[in-house]
Amino acid sequence: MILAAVSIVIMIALVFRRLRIQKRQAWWNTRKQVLTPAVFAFLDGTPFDAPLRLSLGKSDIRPLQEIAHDLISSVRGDARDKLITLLVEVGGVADNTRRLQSAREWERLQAVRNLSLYPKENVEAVLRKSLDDASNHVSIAAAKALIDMDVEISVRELTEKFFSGGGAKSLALREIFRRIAPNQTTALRRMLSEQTTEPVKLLSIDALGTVRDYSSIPAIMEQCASPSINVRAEAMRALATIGHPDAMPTILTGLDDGAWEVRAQAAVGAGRVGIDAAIPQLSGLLDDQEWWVRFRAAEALKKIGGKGQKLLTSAAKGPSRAARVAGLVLSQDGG
Amino acid sequence: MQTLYAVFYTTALPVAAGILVISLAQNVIYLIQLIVAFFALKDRLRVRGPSEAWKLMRDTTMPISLLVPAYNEETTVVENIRSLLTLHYPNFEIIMINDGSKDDTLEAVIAAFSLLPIERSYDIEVPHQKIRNIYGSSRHPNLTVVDKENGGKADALNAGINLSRFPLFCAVDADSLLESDALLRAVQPFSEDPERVIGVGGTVRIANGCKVRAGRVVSVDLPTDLISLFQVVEYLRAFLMARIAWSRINALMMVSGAFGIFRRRASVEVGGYDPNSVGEDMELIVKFHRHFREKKVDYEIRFIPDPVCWTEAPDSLRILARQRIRWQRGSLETFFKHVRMLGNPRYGIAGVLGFPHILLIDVLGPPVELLGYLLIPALWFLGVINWDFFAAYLALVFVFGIFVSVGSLILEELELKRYPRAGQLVLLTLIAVVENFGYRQINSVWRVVGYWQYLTGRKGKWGEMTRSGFTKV
Repeated sequence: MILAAVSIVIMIALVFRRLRIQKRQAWWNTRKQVLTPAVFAFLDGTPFDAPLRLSLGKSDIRPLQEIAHDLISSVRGDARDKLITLLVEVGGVADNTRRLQSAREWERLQAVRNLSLYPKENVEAVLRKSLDDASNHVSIAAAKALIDMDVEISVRELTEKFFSGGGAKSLALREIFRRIAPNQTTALRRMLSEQTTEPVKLLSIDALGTVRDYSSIPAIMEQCASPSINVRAEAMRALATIGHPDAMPTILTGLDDGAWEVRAQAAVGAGRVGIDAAIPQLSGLLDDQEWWVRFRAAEALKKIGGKGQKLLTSAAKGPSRAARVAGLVLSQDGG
Repeated sequence: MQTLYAVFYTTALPVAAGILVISLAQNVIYLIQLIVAFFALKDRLRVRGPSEAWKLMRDTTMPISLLVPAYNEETTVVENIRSLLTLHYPNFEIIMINDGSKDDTLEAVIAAFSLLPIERSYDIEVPHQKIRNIYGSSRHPNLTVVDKENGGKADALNAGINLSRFPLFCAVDADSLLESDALLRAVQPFSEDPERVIGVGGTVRIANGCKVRAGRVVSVDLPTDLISLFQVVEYLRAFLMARIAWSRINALMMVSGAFGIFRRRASVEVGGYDPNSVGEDMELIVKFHRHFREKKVDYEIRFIPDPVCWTEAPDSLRILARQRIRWQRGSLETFFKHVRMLGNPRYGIAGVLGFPHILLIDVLGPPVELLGYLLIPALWFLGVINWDFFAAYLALVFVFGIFVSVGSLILEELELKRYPRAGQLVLLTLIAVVENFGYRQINSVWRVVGYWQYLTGRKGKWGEMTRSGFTKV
């Protein structure tokens, strides 16, 4: 009985709380209505309305930040710089730095995201500190923000921060590795030759493939001999993405790999590089156990064209599974 | 006669005690779920609105195939596909599967999107009925329509799995509306832990009463009829309390068929959906637990409350009864098909906690509840049990019921606040109290009917539902 009564009392209290929230929301909207035209006028060249500036209360920082943050994503150049100056002037950096002390993970995350908009000189130190945040979400967001500001974070630093406890697996880290890759190909290659963990290797291979760094081809080719299927498949995928003829011998070997994931990626690579010498193996793969390998092999033969296309056309005859996939790939996209 | 009375007297008391114990166990579980869900909701990451979700999440998504099975949906299917085509997501395809509809579902889609027959290579990795034709359109390159022979929802989803080419697929009902950022939010667990996460469920909410424009819920409101209002509270309880709590300990046994995202390869590995089950959504999840535990593969199935799918709830008792009877049959089918998992430590927390929970709530729950409603008052009236016993039973059934329903509302209000006005909260609180007197009891009767249909071997493929349609503006 007490439990039910308590729950109803709590609910009644929440209804009152909601009324207060509604009131605050109304205040928030009113302030935004007042502040928005002033911000637009400021962007048009009018100085940020002096009387309004004087009337800004402490609690106006948040609605003003919200207006500015919403606008920042849709403006460029001078207008963007002016908005950021305005945010700095009204105390945005201090406000968000304070929020970084919050016990709530999402509050700290929001603060990091907000701080990423400010000039490097104002926030670099604070964001660097957030790299050590207890939450992976926060530290990854801080790393992203710093990289977007062109702050150099070495591959080693990232590896130590995010993979020392066995390895974070977030796709956000893949994005971070890709972003730093253009300036750090040597360091990424070093990661492949050192005794690093599999997640680090996978991210490094992916990043090197994404930037299509020809000088990394030998290092990636070496990874195609790894005992790990994941590493071999990732390396083969990177070689396919780069699409350079230097990778030909490794791709040909990959077509005979024991793991279907590697064979499928090798078939993609053979098609992209246009390796005539792969035609006999690809023809054999049309009858592979795994549908994805059959499909990729058929696609590769179609891409290679000439002899490959001819072979695919003749393979399409008959009732076999090779014929079925060959026929469908030929008829796809207008044959 | 005296002997008969003696037998009744001696057996009735233990039965009544059993009912009390089972009710108590159910309520203790609900209480634990409420507490776990409260902390899980508190810890979750918050993203403000669709534009922020796009900014923050678009770089870490994975391509998704949206599978939309449809059977006799000619009135809603075109608008819903249009709405899906405008979802905020970087890389997705829509595969709508017409499961041999008897109406003009296929014709409506062909005409609306200028579709033409195409060839598309696919493998039969999971079984389904014959595909008659595949359609595509140059105007909408990410839309594919599959016309197949009738085989049921699970069968249609299997066809979609075979045709999909992306690592993830999202099963979504043709009559449901996804919020524009629902996919972005729902895919985050896959991005955070791409190797372990194999399934993610989002919240399903009742759209009755909400204003809908161009396939989007633009204003959240409550329904005006009592039956739909009861379901609003029920859905809050199911999604905000039970699923969040089970997800927290990786023992989630159910992801709603209306909105769930799964790793394609994992689904193929377990043989896809079971076309013979009416509870194919629950069956798939239980199968995941069983398969990956047996293979000793580390995996995770998560529920996250922020991505929302709006669905139209039945607003007549007749249709609601049909739905609940079908759900009950589905639960029983799944339970008995995988009964070896029950209490078996080989299946980890899913076997030791998740499966006994199904036993307690879905298998023992309905008959025990109904028996309790009939037997306990009768026993008290006959003087077989005393007032204390009777009062304890009433407290467990009604008072605790109110506590659990209001508790879910408290979670909703503390953490999500999807109902914008204070007046709506007052109404929902009233409904959370009232539903315990009448609605819950009717539900128990429907579930027992479902039990009966299961035991008598009744089969069914699609849960047909007559719809009133969303409130459009």
